[in-house]
Amino acid sequence: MKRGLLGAFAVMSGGFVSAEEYYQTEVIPTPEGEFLELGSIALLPERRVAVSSRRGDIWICEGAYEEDLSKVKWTKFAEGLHEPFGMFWRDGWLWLTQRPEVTKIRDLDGDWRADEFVTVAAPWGINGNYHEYAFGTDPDKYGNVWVALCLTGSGAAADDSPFRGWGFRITPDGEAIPTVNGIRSPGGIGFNAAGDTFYCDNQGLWNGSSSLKHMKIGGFMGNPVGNKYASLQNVLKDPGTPESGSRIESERKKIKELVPPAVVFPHGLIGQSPTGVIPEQTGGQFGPFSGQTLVGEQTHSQVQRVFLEKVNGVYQGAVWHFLEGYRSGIVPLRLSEDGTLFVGGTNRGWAARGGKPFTFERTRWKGKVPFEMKEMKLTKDGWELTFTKPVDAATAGNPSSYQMAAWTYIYQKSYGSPQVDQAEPKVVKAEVAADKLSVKLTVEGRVKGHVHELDASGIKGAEGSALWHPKCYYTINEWIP
Amino acid sequence: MAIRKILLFSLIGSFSPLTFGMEGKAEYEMFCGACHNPDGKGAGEGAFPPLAGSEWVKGDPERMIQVVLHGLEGPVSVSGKSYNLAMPPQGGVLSNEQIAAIVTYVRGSWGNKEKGVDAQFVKKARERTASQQKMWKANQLLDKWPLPSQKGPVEHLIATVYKGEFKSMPDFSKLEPSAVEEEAEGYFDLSNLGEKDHFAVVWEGEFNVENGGDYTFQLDSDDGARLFVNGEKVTEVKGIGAMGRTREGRVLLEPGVSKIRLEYFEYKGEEGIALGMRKGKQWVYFTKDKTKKSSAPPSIPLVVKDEARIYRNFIKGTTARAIGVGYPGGVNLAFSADELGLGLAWTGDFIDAGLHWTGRGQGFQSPGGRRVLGFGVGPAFALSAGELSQWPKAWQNELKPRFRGYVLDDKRQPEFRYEVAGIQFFDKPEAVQGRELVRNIKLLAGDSPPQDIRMRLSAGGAKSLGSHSFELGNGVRLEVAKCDSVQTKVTNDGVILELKLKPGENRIGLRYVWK
Repeated sequence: MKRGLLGAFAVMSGGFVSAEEYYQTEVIPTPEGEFLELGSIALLPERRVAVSSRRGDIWICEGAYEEDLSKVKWTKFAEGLHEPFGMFWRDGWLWLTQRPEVTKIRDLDGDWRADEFVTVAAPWGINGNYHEYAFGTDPDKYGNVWVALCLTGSGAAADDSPFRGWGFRITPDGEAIPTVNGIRSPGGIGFNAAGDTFYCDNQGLWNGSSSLKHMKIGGFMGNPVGNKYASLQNVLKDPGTPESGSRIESERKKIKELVPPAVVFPHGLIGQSPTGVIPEQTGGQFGPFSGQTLVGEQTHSQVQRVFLEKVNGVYQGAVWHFLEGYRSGIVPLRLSEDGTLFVGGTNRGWAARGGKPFTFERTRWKGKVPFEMKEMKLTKDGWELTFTKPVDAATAGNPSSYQMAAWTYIYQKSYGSPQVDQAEPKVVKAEVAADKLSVKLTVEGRVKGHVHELDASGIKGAEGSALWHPKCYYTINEWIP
Repeated sequence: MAIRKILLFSLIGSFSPLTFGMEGKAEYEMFCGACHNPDGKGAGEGAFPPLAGSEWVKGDPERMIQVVLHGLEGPVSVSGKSYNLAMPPQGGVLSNEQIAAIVTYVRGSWGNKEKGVDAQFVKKARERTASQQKMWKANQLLDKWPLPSQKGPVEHLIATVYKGEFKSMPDFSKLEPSAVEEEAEGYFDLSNLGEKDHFAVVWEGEFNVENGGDYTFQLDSDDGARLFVNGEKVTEVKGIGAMGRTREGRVLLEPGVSKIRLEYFEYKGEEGIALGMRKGKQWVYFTKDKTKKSSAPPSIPLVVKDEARIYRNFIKGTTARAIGVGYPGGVNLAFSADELGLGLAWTGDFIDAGLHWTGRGQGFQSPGGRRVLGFGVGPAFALSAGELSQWPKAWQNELKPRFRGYVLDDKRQPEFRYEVAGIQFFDKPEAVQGRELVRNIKLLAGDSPPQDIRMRLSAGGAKSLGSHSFELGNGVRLEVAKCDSVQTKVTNDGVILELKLKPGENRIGLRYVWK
């Protein structure tokens, strides 16, 4: 009887996992009276941080890394820009992707006010529609800026707005290379740790659920509305129109350029509007997830964590909830080498759980490792899970500790899709490694092209703790050859 | 068929909001809560429409089911406030069961007391509009599923109509009425009168307020209107003119009954009347049309002080890649980075950013000041072998136009940089004391500059005033400094410079003077 009571107590205390134990989030005060609805965040020399706002201002913050955030100092660097989403510092210039163009700007006389605004490239059209957003990256390993262009009104491709729904690479000297087509409505763009480019495409026409998509050079991202511009260039060919009502998995066989979503974020279950994409490359400064990818979420005011792997040449992987409770809808993310995650938010036009109109916050790891699934790697007969801390061999070795479900989405020209083609994969064997840091799952009933939900609530850490986030979602695009 | 109807009706009735609605709470909070807020009051302190108390939730449940299924875009009025957002369609995402649970929850929560629905009802609604491809517009929905009939706030309302070609508010005491009607529906409603042109009307009635205090009335009309409350004039829209001339007035009201008198005249053409009354955020409308002002974005004027100010955004009258510049002294321009020339110039206020800095920022904002001068549509440069029959509307490929950005001087005035046909342009408009803009353009040409480039400086309709001086319209005079690099002439397309460039540096001097 005594034992039973103790056991129950352990479960209860183990069940209580609070983000504040592991990560601390603080609001960085913004200049009084200003509306810093953030679109991008850039790191400058001497621990300065630049932010751009949807109103077109750029402000530079000093003291954003300091303990006492009440002493931050702000300087207005530029104004009158057109809704920039993407900004970085290179060789004395602040580069930004704004609605009409990729621009580099600098201060010529040392007063911290930008004087020179150089248009680097403007290969796309805009026509006055608010939805024609342009999102840009940092430089890739060749120095190119990648740009993802939203469709007109997120569903159309206006004749007077060439290349809506396309992605470009902009070289440092301003050459614009058509790189992908088929984009619908990006919420952010960036790299994974391997330096490959990804963007988030939001649920809508030809997008059953939001997802993280790999911008493979020459790839078709799935929405055919912008294909009509193919005749205006000679780099990419028109991939054609997929069959509405089909599945991505089926259409991939017909359209070889179609790049399947690397990681589907099931609508509602993992946010509703994914945004900024950054690699976690701090080498442990931000917790145990170095090498993974972090993705912002506007509607649910969160940051998700993504594990990506290339299987048979195609990106796929899993997504977990990670950080939440931000005060506005998160759009840009920026992680400094010292492990400070800066996030910016806005809820103008699109509401967010964090009810503030805008926010600028920082999150730091407190040094305590949460008990989490770290990776979910596809194997020949299931998955291998790795963990941040040793597992309890008894629960982790019991197949009934793992519940699975799988489904996919209709690939169609109308808006979104319900979950369809439900399947019930079953974990039939769970083998715990000798170091207890990984478990090999043998799973029956996996389906290619499906999202696989794994609920590992049944397992415990070696210390009896529960997983901080017991659910994740793995998208299978390819089998291990 | 009758049996089926009864069955359906009993199904709707059989779900009590209390038991069934709870299942919808989690779904509502997951899929809808971010915008409509968990408490149904609309997220962002009223930036998004409320569902609590919303008339859209009341009556026939199909109206809101259709919004959920197919989405809603464009302007919509909810609880007396206007919104212009987009609700994405959820029909492809949510099952009939989920929608039924959410709708039932919303209809039975936060003071809403409407009956719930079941999945079968949602299924039928889905089938009825299976061919609906686009998001609904509010008026389409209301045509099919009108709001529950509501009586207007005016009691004992009498409309007295007068005929005559009125161009201002007549003295009604000297007129004979042509008709007197009692208007039981309680609204000031022109559509009931059966008149189109050349008439006037006096509405008189009473309305009730629960709480005393200061009330603000907003009146808009086409043509004129004048409002009296308890015998005192509150506000007036004077003379002939279209809707959009909203006027306001404040009145201190005692709790209980007040008398209201609204006078109106229509000369000819379009007609309209809108009257609303506000206390705090609470609106009451006396007309079926809402006042225009309540749907306009808040005003955020960009004030130019002692430095020039830049605003890159959509400016009405020029192309999407516009760069607005407001100069101290009250001269403003919009440079078009698409057309590589001036798109607009105006005097007075610079521009209001409210349209772009609130909501999603849809649309082109008109310049803030007066006497807006357009410089013509189409590229600022054209290549002509011989005569052009018409100025081209799009860039000729050989010109290879490229906008290269701008550099600000110490007064934050931009020098625009661009390239046309291999010629580099450094284009610097500067405001001069008084109402003048001096525009110095430096051109760097290669060893053998093209000799057939023309630069257009105005829209058609410009007139030569002699000695390189031109009347551009709206009180603006353009003077072109005499130099070897250009020959100036006026055609039907406007003022045209033929560029006669020598290798290397050339200069063009322009001066714009406002009367």
